[in-house]
Amino acid sequence: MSELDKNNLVTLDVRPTIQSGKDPYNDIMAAVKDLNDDQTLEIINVFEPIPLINKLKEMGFESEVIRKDGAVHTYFRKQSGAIEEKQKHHIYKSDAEEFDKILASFGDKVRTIDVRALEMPEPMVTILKEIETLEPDTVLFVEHKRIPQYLLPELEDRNFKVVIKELEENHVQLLIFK
Amino acid sequence: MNNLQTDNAPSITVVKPHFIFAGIAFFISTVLIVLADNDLLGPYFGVKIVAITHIAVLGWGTMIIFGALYQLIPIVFETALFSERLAKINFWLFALSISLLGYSFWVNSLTGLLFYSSLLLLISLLMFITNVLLTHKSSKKKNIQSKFIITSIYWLLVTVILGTLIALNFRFAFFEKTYLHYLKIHAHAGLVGWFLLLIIGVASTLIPMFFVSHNLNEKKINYSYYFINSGLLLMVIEWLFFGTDNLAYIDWLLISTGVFLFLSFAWDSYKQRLRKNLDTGMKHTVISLLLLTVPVLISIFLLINFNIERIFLMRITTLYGFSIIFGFITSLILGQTYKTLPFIIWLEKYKKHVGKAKTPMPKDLYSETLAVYQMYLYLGALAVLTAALISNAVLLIRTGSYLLLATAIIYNINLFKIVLHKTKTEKL
Repeated sequence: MSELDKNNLVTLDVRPTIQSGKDPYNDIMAAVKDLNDDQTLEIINVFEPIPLINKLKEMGFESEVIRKDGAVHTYFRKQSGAIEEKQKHHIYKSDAEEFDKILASFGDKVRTIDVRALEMPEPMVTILKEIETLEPDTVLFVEHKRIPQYLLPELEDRNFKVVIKELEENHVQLLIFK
Repeated sequence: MNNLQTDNAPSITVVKPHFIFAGIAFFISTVLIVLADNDLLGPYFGVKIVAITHIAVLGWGTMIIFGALYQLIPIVFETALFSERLAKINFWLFALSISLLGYSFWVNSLTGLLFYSSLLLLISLLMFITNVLLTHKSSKKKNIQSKFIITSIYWLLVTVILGTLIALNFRFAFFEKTYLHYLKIHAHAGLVGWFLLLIIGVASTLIPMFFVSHNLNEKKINYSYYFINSGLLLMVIEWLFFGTDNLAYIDWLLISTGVFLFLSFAWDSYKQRLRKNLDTGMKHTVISLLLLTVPVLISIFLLINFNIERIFLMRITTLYGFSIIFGFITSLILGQTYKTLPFIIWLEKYKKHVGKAKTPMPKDLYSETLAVYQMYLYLGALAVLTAALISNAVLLIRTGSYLLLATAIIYNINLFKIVLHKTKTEKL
């Protein structure tokens, strides 16, 4: 754990909440949400909040733990640089113009599949198989019935970008690329 | 740019317990049907029938719907569930209150335990209602499916409030009319308002998805919504505030029209399906939709009533409830479990491996042979129990009850096969 910048502190003392028998989790997450990138969040607690540290690490926060006067002070600050780039959202809905521009930028390096006639979970299986053999400079163009809610987190985990165009009820197009 | 939330899918720890509890509750309700024996031929409001009804509609039907709804919310609402923690607490409280409620009916503790268990049930259902309404609030997607779901949740609220009042009345006796009058409203708000509307809402998403059919006429679903709701609303208002049933035929006509519009939508989807071979899950679904016509016919028979002796009409009233709960609803769940739960478990175990290794498919998580046996036993049970209620035959009641119990046992074997599935992958 590194030493964090403590000039611009936001402090949240959760000891009274814990004392009253409640779980401070929601308060903490609300504070995290409001936190600016140049601020550091200080949580004062009676123990080291390991699950919280892990959870916020996943969200791109660095942490530091200091014990003083019988209390545990945990500091969180948004990581900067390369890691932040990875955390940035690469899955979004776009309008037709932007969608077509991205598609055109790949030239003829386009692989097209239509999964609308497949039964669940075949669309997901087909797409995941395709992207595993997709060349880095190629885009996978998918005709789909709906935004694949269960597939998106998996594509995100595998570091793919996804651009979605909604045409009508029961028809969307996806561009999936590295 | 319009960033999409990608973690809308609920945690499996929220969804799975609902399916397990529902399977066990179905099994228990069939054991109780065996134990109730010739009480099943007695009045429809007898405590044993009422106990079985509540374990079936709450423990089996409603519990599995909650689980399935949590899973479906990202698809229908395009947003995540408001609170998973609330859903988890809700599950335990709901499970406890169903068990207590069923027990208090079964042992005829109408002034004692029923009072506490119905209040507990009210609290747990209020938690569920709050969770879904707050989820819907943050959803930008307003389609006909979510309209059905949200309206059905308001009917669930009406049902549980009426149910609680009936339970309180056993203790404090404040109703002006017999409680059977309120029971009638409670039952219809629950079966038509909650179950039927919710099922139409969910089914109009899922049926075209599983049949794989495109470009269906959603207008039918839209009209169905207004027909069923206006009929039910008219019925409940007249019964509750005027205590008469002069409009019963109009109510029946409105609701039946709505039902047939929905069935016509489902029929379109069936005819245009790209998936020609139906698996047992979808066969059960088709059977369920056909069975939906049975209560429509029985209710008009009860309305006309032909001056038949009262004792017979009471058994037909039991058959009416039975045809909805153990016919339409149960057949639908028996089939849809195979279409949803294997997928949910599969998603959890294999999504990391798909495309990288050879994985089983959702249908490999259960035995299709057992599912086929389950379907035939179920159809046998349904036919024999229907004959038993019409002919007042104790022997048939016993035979049918054991067939239904066998159905529940086979269903549970497959259910546990699915939830206890161990991950296995091979290299590509």
